[in-house]
Amino acid sequence: MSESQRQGRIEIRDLVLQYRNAASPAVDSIDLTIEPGEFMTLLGPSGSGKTTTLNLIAGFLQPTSGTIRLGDRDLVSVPPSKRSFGMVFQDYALFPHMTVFDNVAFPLRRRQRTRTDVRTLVNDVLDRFGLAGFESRKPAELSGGQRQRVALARATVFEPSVLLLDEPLGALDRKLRAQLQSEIKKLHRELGLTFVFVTHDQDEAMFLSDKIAVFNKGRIERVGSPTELYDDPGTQFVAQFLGEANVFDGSVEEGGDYLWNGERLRGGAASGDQSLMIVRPENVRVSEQADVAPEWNAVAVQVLDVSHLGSSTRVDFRFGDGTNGTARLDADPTIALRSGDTAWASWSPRSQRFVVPDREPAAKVEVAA
Amino acid sequence: MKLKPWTPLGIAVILVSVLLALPAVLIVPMSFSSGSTFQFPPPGWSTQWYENLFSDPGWRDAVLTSLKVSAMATPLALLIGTLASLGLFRMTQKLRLTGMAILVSPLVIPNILIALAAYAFFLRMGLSGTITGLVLSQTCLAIPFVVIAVSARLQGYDRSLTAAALSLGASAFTAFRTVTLPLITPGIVAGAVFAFVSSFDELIIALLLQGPGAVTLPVKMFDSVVEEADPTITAVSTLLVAAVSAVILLVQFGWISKDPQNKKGQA
Repeated sequence: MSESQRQGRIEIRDLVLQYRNAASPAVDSIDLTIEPGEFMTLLGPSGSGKTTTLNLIAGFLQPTSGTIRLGDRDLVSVPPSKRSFGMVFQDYALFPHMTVFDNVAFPLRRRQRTRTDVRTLVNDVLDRFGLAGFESRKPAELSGGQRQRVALARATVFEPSVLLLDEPLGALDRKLRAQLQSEIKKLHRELGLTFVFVTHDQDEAMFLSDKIAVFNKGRIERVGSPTELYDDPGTQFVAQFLGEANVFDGSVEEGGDYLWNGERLRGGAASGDQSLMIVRPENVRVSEQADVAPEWNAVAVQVLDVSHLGSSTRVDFRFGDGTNGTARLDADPTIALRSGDTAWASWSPRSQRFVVPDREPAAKVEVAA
Repeated sequence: MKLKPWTPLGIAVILVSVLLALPAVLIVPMSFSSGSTFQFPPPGWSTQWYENLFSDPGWRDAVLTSLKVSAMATPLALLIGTLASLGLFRMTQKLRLTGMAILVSPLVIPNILIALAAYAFFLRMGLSGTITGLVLSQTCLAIPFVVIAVSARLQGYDRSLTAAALSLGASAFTAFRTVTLPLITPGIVAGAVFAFVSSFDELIIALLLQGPGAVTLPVKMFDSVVEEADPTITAVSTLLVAAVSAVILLVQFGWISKDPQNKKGQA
């Protein structure tokens, strides 16, 4: 492990940013530890504080209180130019009046590297990003993907200990996005740097990250690996932001069962505030008869829509309490269910999870930012 | 869309262009007249009015005074106007609009009022009839042109470029010098041209603040028409039209085609 890698641990403690005339803080008592070499994604809807947190780490904003440390150095009083973080911006922020070469050489020249050093390092990094031959082009003469690569080259050429990425793929179309996601993942593996990546796209977060911090209303709801968060989201917000969830608003019975809409469901293992039960759509089966496995829970539903998505079949339905639910089944083009049918939705109690309900009454979270 | 010349719109465009440009075009043959009055067409050809312009100390001093005043007022207006624009750019919308209105007010207030105020004030300060007085008042008139041109340029400036420069290790000043300044330079150049032309051309304030050794070219031209109907003014005008046209053409073809922000818009 190199020196810069060891230095790459970021510790955020009790970070608050309160704007003068805002009712609630933009960032509200955030604690987050980012290990050296980790790919940490700050995920959340727009206005949840994720980009603000990144800007606090980068030094573009000053916190109202709290600390940000890099290794054993306190960063709060260090200006952005002295933090030596690479940063990739949403709209690339390439200097339009400079060539690709001059853009990438910019951080090296600010560090007073010799001309020979600059030339060697820039050419190496341009090679790595497949940009050899584009040295003398201006950013306007590049495609979106190429601009993105120049931005990545510029942000890593000076070997920063941490790379900050602010929704770097937001402006690209779906196909290019997928391709650059793979490139970013590969880059992370090769460089071994700490990556802090901001996105509102849960699939992107799941695909790229070692760890995800889910933001909601200026706070971090939960931090964990993608599988941890998906499998055991802990809160209703995380459950619905990372994937879809069928939500049951009931209560735990003395005997350990879960009482919901007048029905007794097996396996109510809720604890503390975690009063809502969720089941992921892929764990739900839908059939016309109630002939389900003996230990499973089954409730009657009314089918709203059946959609064939190629690799899977999606059934949307309404529960007895009026809320909507979804099941994702293996692709079944011959499925007999039709809109308006009454059917049975069933699932294993082992796939049930209990979560803390949203502070505001259960509302479908707006995923699009 | 391509404009065809022989449509009603085309004819209107040609008419307006002719009306705007004709006086400037007629001045040129008149300045080479051999007659001693404003006659058109000229009775014969000579360069006597040009000779007069450069040999008569009154005209020569007026040209030099005007050049001196403009050459000092322009950089002053550039400095103040550019800094003010950068400051406005960082303010909230409300403050920005207020500040903008104040800085641009010399364009709205009748020049004669500014001239009277400057005259009364400078008289007390001992600046009336001095080059310094002229420079200060012309600077005040030129600032709006700089603020408008530079602010327009800053509107298209992407703030994340400054953030990027900072994150890459540039100090705030270096970020300004290497990124912001080159990108707003076309605005500064345009502002400089307008500032120079406006102060070189200004009559009313210069008229009130004139004094021995502080007579600008427009004042001299005004006097020559009012007092002696001297055709030297046609020679001066021809040179002014040529000089200003040259500068404006240079800016249009030299700067805008090399403009990185413009290119970005086309991509």
